[in-house]
Amino acid sequence: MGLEIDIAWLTLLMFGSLAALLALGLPMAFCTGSLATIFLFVFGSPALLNMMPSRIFPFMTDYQLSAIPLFIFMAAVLEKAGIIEELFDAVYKWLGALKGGLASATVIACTLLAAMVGVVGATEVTMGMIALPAMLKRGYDQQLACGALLAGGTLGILIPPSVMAIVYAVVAQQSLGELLVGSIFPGMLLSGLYVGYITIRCYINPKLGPALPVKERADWREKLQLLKKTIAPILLILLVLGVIFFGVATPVEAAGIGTFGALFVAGLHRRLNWVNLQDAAIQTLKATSMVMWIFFGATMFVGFFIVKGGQEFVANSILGTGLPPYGILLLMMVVLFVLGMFIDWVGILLLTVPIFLPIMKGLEWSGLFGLPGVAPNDVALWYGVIFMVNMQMAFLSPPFGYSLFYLKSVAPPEISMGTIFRSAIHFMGLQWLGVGLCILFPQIVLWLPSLVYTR
Amino acid sequence: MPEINFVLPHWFYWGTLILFPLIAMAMVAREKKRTQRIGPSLFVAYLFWLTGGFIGLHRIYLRNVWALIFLPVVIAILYSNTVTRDHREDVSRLRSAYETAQSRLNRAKPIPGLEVTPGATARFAQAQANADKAKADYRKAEDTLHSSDWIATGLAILLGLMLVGDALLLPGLFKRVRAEELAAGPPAPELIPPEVVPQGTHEDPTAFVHTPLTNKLDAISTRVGEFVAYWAILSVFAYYYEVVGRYFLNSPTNWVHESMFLMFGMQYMLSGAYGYLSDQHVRVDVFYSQFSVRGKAIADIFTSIFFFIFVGTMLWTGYNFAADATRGNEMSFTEWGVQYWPVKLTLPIGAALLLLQGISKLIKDIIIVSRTRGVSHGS
Repeated sequence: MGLEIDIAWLTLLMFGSLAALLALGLPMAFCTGSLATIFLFVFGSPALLNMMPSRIFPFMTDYQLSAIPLFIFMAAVLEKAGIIEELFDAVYKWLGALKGGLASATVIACTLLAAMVGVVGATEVTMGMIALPAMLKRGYDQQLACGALLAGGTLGILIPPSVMAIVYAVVAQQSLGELLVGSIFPGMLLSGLYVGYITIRCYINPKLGPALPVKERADWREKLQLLKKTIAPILLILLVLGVIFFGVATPVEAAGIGTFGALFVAGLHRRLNWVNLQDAAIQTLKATSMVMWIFFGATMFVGFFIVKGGQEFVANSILGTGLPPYGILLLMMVVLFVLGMFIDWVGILLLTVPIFLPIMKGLEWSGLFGLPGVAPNDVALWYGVIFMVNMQMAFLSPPFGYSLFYLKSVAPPEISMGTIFRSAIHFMGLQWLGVGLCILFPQIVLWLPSLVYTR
Repeated sequence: MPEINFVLPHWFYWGTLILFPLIAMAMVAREKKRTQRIGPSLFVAYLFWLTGGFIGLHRIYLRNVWALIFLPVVIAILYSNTVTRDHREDVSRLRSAYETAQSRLNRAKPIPGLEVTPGATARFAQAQANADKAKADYRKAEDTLHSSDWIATGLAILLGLMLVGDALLLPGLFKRVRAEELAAGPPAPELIPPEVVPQGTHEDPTAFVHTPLTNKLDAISTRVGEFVAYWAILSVFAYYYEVVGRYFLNSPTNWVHESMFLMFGMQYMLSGAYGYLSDQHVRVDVFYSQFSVRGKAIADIFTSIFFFIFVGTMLWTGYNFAADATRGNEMSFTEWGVQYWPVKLTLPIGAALLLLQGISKLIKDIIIVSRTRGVSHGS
């Protein structure tokens, strides 16, 4: 029909109607898709609707995107293989003598698992089933126990392999390998912050997380025997990360061989059978289908918004506030945090990155407090990793945080939703600290990729 | 090492995509009937023999220590391959040096009938010596190449013999291991986590409404979803083949990547309806979860207008898009050149499946609203 409308009103109309439809419970993928169709028809032309398949089709033939189902499949197979229980068992017997050792073991086991899986669900749920009862039985503080699980389990989507990195790489046209390598240190930084926080609090107040009684601690012989159980997981981590790190194969191929390794581990545990494979395949299909359909819908929605000049409008409005670059970045981080309270990360990424990233690229990043800044061609990588660290909070922030509900679904009944909400707050503080550190010291993100990928 | 220049035929690709899920479905059904599923399986042992036998995966799978002798052999093969490659380069370098020396010698040869100066004689002697030395170097390098080539071939034959031998030994080994594992008692019980449901889902009020018509529509979505889910298993072996082929057989393929991303592309499209049926498409449920069942159903009926606008448009434009491709029997512009139109055809098919699923959901929502008529809001 080709109606003309002021871009400010269009922005309000598009995002207002999106919010309304979302509140009415229509799934994200169909909200964005249908609104894009309607807006294309009303403010564009009916002929433009024929663009729809040609916008969707490139995603169906995108090489990088096939890493998403593969990494999700790998996680599903590993979950079936029983690797999670084994790993936690080994790590917690090693750390038993420490105050808060079980909680630290939870975070460390989650970190190791995060280096094998690229999603949050399986780790969070299975760890919740094993580690939470173990901690509560030994008199751990409920909030500390839940917090460690929430924060640790969420690392799965940050530490490579990570499905979020794949989606970002495709949306931002950024090298996937660089993103994966760049998120290694920030992931370890967060994990270290969690362990440090737990240990410090438990040493100040040992009642929060008492050490194991002496007779329950493992002796050295048992500890060495337990190491045997960690061989398979560690080899698998080295396989996937090593392949990506040394550029032996593309990340997609790394996902393929990683999954082959996962199948082998499942075989070693005698759990490789058709029924388990079917379960894993269907679980993968459901998760992938969700991500991909939001892809189809949201890219059309944002694509239309950008064509109508929405990106410039947002950029001008933000730049018009007169904030310095780092103030703008902080503003973006707050916007992402608030969105994370309501929408899941796929939606946030697809809706905001095409709008925010050009703004980021257009600014100069000269560093804060005399610290080194970021070169223009590193901005996309740097922002991507900061974005991923920020999205950790989206999993923890009520009312809509995946991890909160995953944990609630396996927690014993005496743990209320309120306890879980409160337990997330301290760890969200640590995540803000992590975001801040990555902004202040961009080398945390950029150093490792600069070693691997000379540009 | 032998090179394998296997290119997947198109008919085999499409055939596998159709047959493999059917076979897998049959296997799952057969396995579900069996009560006991623990212990190793001979099929899996042979599978690892075929795919990873060269590093002894089949023996590791059967917890056999002899698995460790495979790795040194493979490393020796890889090493001797690099050595052979170096030697081959030496040979070709020395051969060209020899040829150059030979042609210089020819030029330095005194021309019959012309008076020979002492300088020319010296030059000729020098060229003769050079040529002889180059020839000797070349012959020596060729001998080295032959012996290293012989070692590499020998190692490859050794590995081949080890694999063939193991193929024969595997059933016996398997029987022994299974007996041992059964004697050791049942394994620790499997920890089965509850199905992880993404938050913002499982609010669907229609999940428990059944009518004969909607059951049929739901069954279509489920069948298609299960069918395409099995494709993920194929991809694991395809990528594995690509990487192993590239590094161990020096034969990268031109079809693995394309065939796999096209397969996944079709999978995304065809799985939309199944995802919608199993309520996997996340929604923001801050308000929605507060509604009563009737309230949710009414909201669903209202928002279904938008759903149908999206899916209907996609069906219509997708049909045109695919029809263009089908008429021209479109192929991909790559070396492999696979048919493109079936991939494009999944666009309208996926939309149609989603449309059917939406109709099924709408019927259920209407049933809920009409059944709960008169019941107060918020119950």
